Amino acid sequence: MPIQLKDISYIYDRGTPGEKRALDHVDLTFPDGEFIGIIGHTGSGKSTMIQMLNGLIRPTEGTVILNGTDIFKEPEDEQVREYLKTRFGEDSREFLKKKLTGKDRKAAKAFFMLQVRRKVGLVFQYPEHQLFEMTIEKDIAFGPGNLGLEEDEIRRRVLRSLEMVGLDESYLQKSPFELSGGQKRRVAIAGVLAMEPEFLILDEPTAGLDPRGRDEILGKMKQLQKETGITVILVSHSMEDVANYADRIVAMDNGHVRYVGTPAQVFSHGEELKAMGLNIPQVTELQLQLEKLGYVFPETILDIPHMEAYLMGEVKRTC
Amino acid sequence: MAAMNRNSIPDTINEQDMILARNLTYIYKDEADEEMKPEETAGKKKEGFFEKSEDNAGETAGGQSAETFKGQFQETSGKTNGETTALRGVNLSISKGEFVAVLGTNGSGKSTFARHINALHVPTEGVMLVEGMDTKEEANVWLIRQKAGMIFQNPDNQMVASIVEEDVAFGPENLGMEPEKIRMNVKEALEAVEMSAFRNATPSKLSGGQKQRIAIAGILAMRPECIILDEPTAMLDPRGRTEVVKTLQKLNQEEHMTVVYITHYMEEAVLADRVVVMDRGQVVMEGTPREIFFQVELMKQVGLDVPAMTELAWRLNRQGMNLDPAILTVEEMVNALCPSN
Repeated sequence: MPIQLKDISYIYDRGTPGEKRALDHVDLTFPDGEFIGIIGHTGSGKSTMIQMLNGLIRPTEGTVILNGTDIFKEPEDEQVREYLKTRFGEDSREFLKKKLTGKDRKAAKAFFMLQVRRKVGLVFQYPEHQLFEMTIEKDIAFGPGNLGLEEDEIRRRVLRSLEMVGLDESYLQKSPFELSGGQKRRVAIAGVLAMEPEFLILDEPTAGLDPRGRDEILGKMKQLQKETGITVILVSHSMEDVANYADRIVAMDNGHVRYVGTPAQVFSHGEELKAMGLNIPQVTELQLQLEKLGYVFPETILDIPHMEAYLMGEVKRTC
Repeated sequence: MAAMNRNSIPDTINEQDMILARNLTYIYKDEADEEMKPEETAGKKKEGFFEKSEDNAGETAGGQSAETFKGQFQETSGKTNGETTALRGVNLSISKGEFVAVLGTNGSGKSTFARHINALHVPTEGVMLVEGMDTKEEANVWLIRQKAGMIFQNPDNQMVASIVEEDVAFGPENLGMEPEKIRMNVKEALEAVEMSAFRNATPSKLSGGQKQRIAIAGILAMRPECIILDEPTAMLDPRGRTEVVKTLQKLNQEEHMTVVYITHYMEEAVLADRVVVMDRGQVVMEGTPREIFFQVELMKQVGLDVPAMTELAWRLNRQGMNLDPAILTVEEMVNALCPSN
């Protein structure tokens, strides 16, 4: 099931002179199983938006819908009773008869929000700063451990998550602090994957990594999306990264969604993107310049191999 | 063996040298030190090129070809008894007014090297001189930090005051400058980074690129000779990156500021006078951007990239085209493909 943002607005410091509309009537759907890239200048509203997707920020206006349910809606009596039933089992009978209290509603709401956070995993910038356990195994097991799962299940999830980020069992007993920056980051991502989310949101996962570390992380995330059907949402300042990995790109500007489409569609708006403080991949820039001189390309070129292929013959050269 | 004692201050110091590293070696020793360690030096197991080569681990200094430094760092980088060797005999001099880009993978030692320039680290072995001053001498440290200011990745961690002007004044105030001089320096520093209009703004309300320019102004207000930047654009959006890089170019060209610029963006390194490539704690390549980047295969073997246009030229030439292999920018590529233009 997709996540939908319906007519979302978010206003910071409302009623003060510093009032700022971080998101302005945003309508957007994140379909299942895609790799989605989000680009936008600093302050464009990207961070606010991704934090709404897992309920960390509540919109000032509008609704966030996950699997058909408004995640911020007060639970219905029926849902609260349903929660009490699962929470207290046999003992719940007396709860179910009595009038629901504010406490019951609050507990139910917190429980439902927890479900949302399990389904929508959010990896913040520099997640490796949040590693704290003595071993990598313990660090990855921390989240699933809190879910009250069986030992075997936790172990299975730890191994699976570690494999998903491209590390093998030999890392389990190591300290996370012995690893390189890129490896630490992968362990931190594995910790979120161990919660088995349906959506994985990554905020600048490659900042500060060298080219190889960058390709490793993004390559693994792409593989994960293809093989497991998880939806990956990548927030990035690298136009090359989103061009190379995303199926769909969302370009944001001053709290508005300006463009949504395939990388080729979005990056065909070169001038507009630059005016928004963004850019286009260098090969796309080359295409623009060559077209001004009479070259004809059949489509928007986003990566070096395609540009190579076109320049080696398929392209009509007239300059 | 050369007659000169490699661990002592060289007899002849070139007047033009802003920074001079001789046999610079640094070992992270204990856990307390570990805290100080920049993120990237923790790396030890690198897949790929170096680990795969099973042949001898030679002890010669890094050469210019893949063959010469193939395999030579096996076993040497990384931890033994809690020690991590981050720099292994770096020899490098940077002249006054030079713009040098330092490239290298995470764990190559670039940040550790940068931290030696303003005496955040002192060499375990070897020497680091800044304007002829030995960073090992306690008495020099104050002056060295005034001459060589450092900018880090995260602009938010570098803001100390709630108003831009006060933030920029923080450094000179700590140096005990006269209030009148501070005011003048702050004004000029903000002009240099083109942020005068924001002098009364709150740093937290600025964009990433603007924050980094304020951080740069904070260094400039101390009137340094040299500015060292450790991935200052890693967290910035494309416009912010351009702003920071342009500011540095201007400072370098107009004020003759020495700039040492660490980055993972190859397109930014193109703008430097000289590129230094580090790998496993050593300098393995050095030259102008053109001299470095046309060695596409070598750069990839070190785990780095080349600018997109250089890679495209390399691929096209492999297919039989005859382009200048040292193309670095889109403009150069356009001119190469359409010479009449």
